[in-house]
Amino acid sequence: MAIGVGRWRPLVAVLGVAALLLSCTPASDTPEQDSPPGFPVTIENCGFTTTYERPPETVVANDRNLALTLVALDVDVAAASHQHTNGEPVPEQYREAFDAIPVVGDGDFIRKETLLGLNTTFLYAGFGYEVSSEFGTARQTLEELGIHTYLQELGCADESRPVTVELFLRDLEQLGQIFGVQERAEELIAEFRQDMDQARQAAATDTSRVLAYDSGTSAPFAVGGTGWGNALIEAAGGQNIFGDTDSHWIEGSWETVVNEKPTHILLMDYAAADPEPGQAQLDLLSERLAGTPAIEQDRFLSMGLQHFMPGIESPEAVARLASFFGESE
Amino acid sequence: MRSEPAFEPWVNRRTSFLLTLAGLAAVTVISGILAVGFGPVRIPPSDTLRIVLNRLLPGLIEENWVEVHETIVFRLRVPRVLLGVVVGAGLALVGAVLQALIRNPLGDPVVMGVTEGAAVGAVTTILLGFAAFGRFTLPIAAFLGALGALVLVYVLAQASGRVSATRLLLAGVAVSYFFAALTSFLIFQAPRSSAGFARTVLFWILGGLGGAEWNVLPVPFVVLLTGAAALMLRARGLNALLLGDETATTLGVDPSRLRQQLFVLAALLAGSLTAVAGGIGFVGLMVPHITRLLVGSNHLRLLPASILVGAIFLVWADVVARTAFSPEELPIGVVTAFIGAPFFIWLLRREGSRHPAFGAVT
Repeated sequence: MAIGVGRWRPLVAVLGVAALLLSCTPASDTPEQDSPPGFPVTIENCGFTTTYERPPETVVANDRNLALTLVALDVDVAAASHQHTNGEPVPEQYREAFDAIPVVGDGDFIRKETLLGLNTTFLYAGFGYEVSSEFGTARQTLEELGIHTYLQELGCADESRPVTVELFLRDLEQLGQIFGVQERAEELIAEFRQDMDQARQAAATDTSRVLAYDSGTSAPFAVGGTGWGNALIEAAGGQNIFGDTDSHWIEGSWETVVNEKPTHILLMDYAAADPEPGQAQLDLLSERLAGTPAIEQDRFLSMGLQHFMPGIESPEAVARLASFFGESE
Repeated sequence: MRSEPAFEPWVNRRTSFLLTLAGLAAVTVISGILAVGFGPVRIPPSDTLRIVLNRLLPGLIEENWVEVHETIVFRLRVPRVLLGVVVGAGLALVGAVLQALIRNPLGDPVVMGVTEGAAVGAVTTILLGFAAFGRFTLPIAAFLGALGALVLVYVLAQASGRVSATRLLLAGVAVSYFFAALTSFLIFQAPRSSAGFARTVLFWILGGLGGAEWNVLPVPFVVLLTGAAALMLRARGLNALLLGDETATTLGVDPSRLRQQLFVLAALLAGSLTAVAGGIGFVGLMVPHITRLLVGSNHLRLLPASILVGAIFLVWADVVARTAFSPEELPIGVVTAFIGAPFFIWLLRREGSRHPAFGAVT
């Protein structure tokens, strides 16, 4: 075969050139350059408009939940950072596909050069700073480098207004359009709503007063009144003790917390993947919040950090919270 | 023949300085070329070199590298290294001038309120959601903030039309603290207390070169060139300032007037550098001291040498920042202090006895 080609090389070359010339005339409407059915799609997301001529091919996600969302949508993910997670396995049906995604970094978002090195054509980002000019990753800059971007809706939400779990469904819907997988997106949305309704039905009456504690010794840093964590607590029938503050996260004071008499304390697990809260943290809270119902009745629940951010597991998180809040006396 | 002994040392010092300067210039160029070879994506050094050469001398080299490598080298790394050169050079220059200006070895853009002023400008803009100038909005806001802080320092430092070194230093420290408090207050009362906002604010305080793009470079580059030229013309005046105001006056220098000019130059320079790279600390403070150990404290030598040492230092600090925890990036301010402080202490201890810094002059 190789010899054959070698012998006929001049002829092959001539034919090749002829084919090229012929194909050049109707170049503008060759099948490859046409957009697939349903495309181009124009998406306006977080104040930035992107036009997709076809579904993006090399897709990169900036954290674990974002990658999982794409996997659930049957999108091939080329690489992902594993930040914002305690390393807990993803739901079984997605595990194989998710675990096959190459990990690039686990403590931070993915930078411009790494994105280019991966030949990225689409970046799914979680928060505004991940696509900002300070880090050279502004959406316009990336667009000029051939990388389309999508920022999860929570990443640009007005912090002074509370969000609900419905916000995530807009991500699913828009990603469905971007990748031409609307049907799968609709399925996931229906599933999400159904699971969420079920979790809500299991929820107790809202007598639980919840502190969702992130960190802090001199003052507690906790889930504020407008973020995702607050949306989950409310969906599960609880009441965030910082529910009337107007930010996603808040640095409160121990005094306020004691005064609010929390009945349940939620802890964010950053790395351990261990349902038992850390002893040092428990000691601190027991000392600072002595006398509150949550401490007296030892009501603590530790959840992975990923559950305090939007994702397809949010209904499951709400179910866990509902059963936690349901624990009485 | 008789005049030779008196003449020769001068020739030697001049020659050795020119040799040092040429050496530093060579190291700067080599550092820049080597630094382009570092990054989270592995690109063969030969490809890196050929991509750069191809841009300098188009048409001579066969383009057979991966296309994306060219994008990475030419659109990401080269502007980033060049920004490192410009910012490092500029910060070192400003540091050297400020140290003479306030007659204090602690002179540094950070002490003059520049960094904090820039942070206030940027943070306010983010909070107001103001974006009229697109991606240049934040640099412009940061520049205005830095300039605001410096104008305040300048006004406060005036006493009956004269600017004294001590007043300048004290005003700088006071304004710096005030703007730091203002930044903290803005962060505190902002509805965005989330990690993302803190990350953005941290950039303006610790600095970084990640925002480098070709279209970001021209302004700081031109400011650096003109600033350096204007300051070099005043190098003899800086020498005179170090001798004290009275001596300076007898040498024909008007100390107050000169301080005003130097201050405006330093302010414009520091403001535009901070606007593109955030508040990178330690370079302005440390590089002039290191350079004094190399070339002495005569500003005719100190200023050009500081420019080169600053460029070399920041280029390598950035290499560490983007490769040490690759693919994640360290804030460059962490690197400059981490590498800089121990190195500086080692130098001081080694050269302490003959450090030609400030004690010798006063």
